[in-house]
Amino acid sequence: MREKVDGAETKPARYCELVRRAAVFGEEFILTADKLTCAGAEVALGFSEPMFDETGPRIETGTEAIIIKPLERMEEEPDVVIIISTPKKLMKISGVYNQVFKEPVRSEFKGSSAICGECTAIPFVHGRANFSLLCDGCRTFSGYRPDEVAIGMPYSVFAELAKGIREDRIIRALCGCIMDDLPKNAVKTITEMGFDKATDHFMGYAGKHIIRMYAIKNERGRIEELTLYLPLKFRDEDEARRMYERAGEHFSEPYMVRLRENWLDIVLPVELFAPLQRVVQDREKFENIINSAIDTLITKVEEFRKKYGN
Amino acid sequence: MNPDRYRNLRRDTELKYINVHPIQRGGVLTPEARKALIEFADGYSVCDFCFEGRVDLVETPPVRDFVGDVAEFLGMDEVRFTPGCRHAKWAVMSTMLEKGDSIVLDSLAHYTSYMAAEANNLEVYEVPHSGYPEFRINPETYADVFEEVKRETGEYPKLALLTHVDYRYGNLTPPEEVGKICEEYGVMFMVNTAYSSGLMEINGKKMRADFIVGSGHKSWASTAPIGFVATNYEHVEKLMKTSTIRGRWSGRGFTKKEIAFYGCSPVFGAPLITFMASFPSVVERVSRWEDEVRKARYFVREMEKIVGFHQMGVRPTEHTLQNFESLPFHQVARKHKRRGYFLYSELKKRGVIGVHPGLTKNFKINTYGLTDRQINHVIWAFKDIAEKYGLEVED
Repeated sequence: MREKVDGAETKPARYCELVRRAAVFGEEFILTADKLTCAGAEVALGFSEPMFDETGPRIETGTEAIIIKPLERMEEEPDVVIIISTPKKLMKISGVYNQVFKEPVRSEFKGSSAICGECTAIPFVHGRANFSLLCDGCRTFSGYRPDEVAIGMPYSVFAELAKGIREDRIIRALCGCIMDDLPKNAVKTITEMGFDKATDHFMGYAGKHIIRMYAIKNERGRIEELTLYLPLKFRDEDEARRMYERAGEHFSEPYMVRLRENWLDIVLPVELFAPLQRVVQDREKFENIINSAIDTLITKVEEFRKKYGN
Repeated sequence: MNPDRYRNLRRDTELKYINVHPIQRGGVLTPEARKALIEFADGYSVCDFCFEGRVDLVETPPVRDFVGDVAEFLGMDEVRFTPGCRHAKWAVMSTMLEKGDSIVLDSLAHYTSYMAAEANNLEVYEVPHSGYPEFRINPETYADVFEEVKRETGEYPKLALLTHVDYRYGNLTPPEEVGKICEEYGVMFMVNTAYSSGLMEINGKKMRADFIVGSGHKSWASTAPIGFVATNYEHVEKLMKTSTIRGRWSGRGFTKKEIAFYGCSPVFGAPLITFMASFPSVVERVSRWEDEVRKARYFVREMEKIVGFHQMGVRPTEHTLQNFESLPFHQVARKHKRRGYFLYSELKKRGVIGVHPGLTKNFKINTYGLTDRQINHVIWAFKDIAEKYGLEVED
């Protein structure tokens, strides 16, 4: 907060102590230079000029006060959001960060000026997130527990992360359960090919057609086969049945045709001859296999429609 | 902390909107239950005349008779009420099985079936489903999995669980066929009827079920949390075993209390009274199930007129719970400023709620208990949204 803030009420304290008290006890502070008892933080936060040339990360001098509050009580968007938590929780945040920003969290920390420099000044100045393993000042004087670490980030980064976490919840089942054990690299590759992952299967447009893809587990629990589906809708069950009889002549093996009420499923199995997670490692080859199968399926279906007038 | 935020809590859902929430339709209270709810809303309201120390034995209001009526209604011998179907499953597994025993369940089972097994240290084997697009459970596969359990552990499983209607696709698997297999193998059979009993007729004897579990708040027009476990006389003693513990110092004993139900099942008050008050309507409404299915099939046909919509699961649908693929709406969501939440907002504007906020790729809907007019309104709402965003809708 660069603007002038009146009515500083905070008793003399270290910046890192106030941040932790805000996070843990929900207290609020307005910190000015005369209340700050840590010389390192004074420089890092831009309250004063450094006395020596070599300093850690710092905000350019000119800060008049800093408002420290729990995020939910901030009336305006803060400059920086700091999360103090266990390594395990920050590990999860780093995973979400990577998903959202498509890059790992790149951090610099050296065990000094941690909350002030590493978690506040770096995000403020460079506009990026930064992890910190904290410093002696935090751990000795400010009550940080041995199992606590921290990350600071600009508010804009935090807002994107929060959206990413919400999106992740939606992608998973609403009950919060994991609904399959599909290899992650396979899901990534298939979704990058333009398919969307539904709860149990993938689906995506190929021209005007919606193609569904389902991964079949064999008896050993391995996925070595995918099936592509192009369901055709008919006016009613009778018409679908008539077309089903004709489809038997048109679609020979490896195609499968299944009648479901007024729908005909045209199914094309795609044998991978190896576990899915290995096959997708050769991305180009996998895409060729799938795209070629999709083209074949669509062509065959179009021929069927042309021939029988659906 | 701001305790004032808990004042004036409101929910206008059933008054202002048509609610198609997948898990809420069967739990909408009857007018009788809503009235009883006010009278019995206080915590221990059914315990005014408790002389036996157990809620199922209270005679005023007539809980004791109600226990017998529900058992008869389900074609079973004995019933206990539980705080939800999940606790009923836990009670069966904790009393009838030993640590390390194997159970077999369908791969569409509710997560609480897995939790109940895990809490009781049981080994879980799954009956695979048929995959996209039907996700059908083949009853005969139970026998295959029983054999698999025998090969791996040296003995057949102790218990098989079938989710009569699954919560993901609304598929109905015939319990009679699984029950027959269980009988042949000497495996106890539990049927989870959370999405069926209270909506359609259930006869445990015909199913050859050892245990029927169900959910009052899902399907018996009751306030949560209430469920039940029903069993036959041969399992009563074990399932409903009473306490033998004595206080070592005090000498206290609790001989009437049934261990698996916390002594006296904590459903006294709103859950139990609404369960009872809705019962006459429930007894009557199960005979109208075919009409509910008729409406559901009409609903599916009309929804699929939005090109790209597709009902997953067994067809024609056998239940009022549907799972639709809706990729065209997902395409709209990608470009919409509200992203996936656009559908929820657009439906709400048209007086329809219950599709989970944020979902557009595929979503579940339950039409149970809606009138033809209400169903037509929901269909109109979806088609109107589709047309607004330039999607193709068939005539």
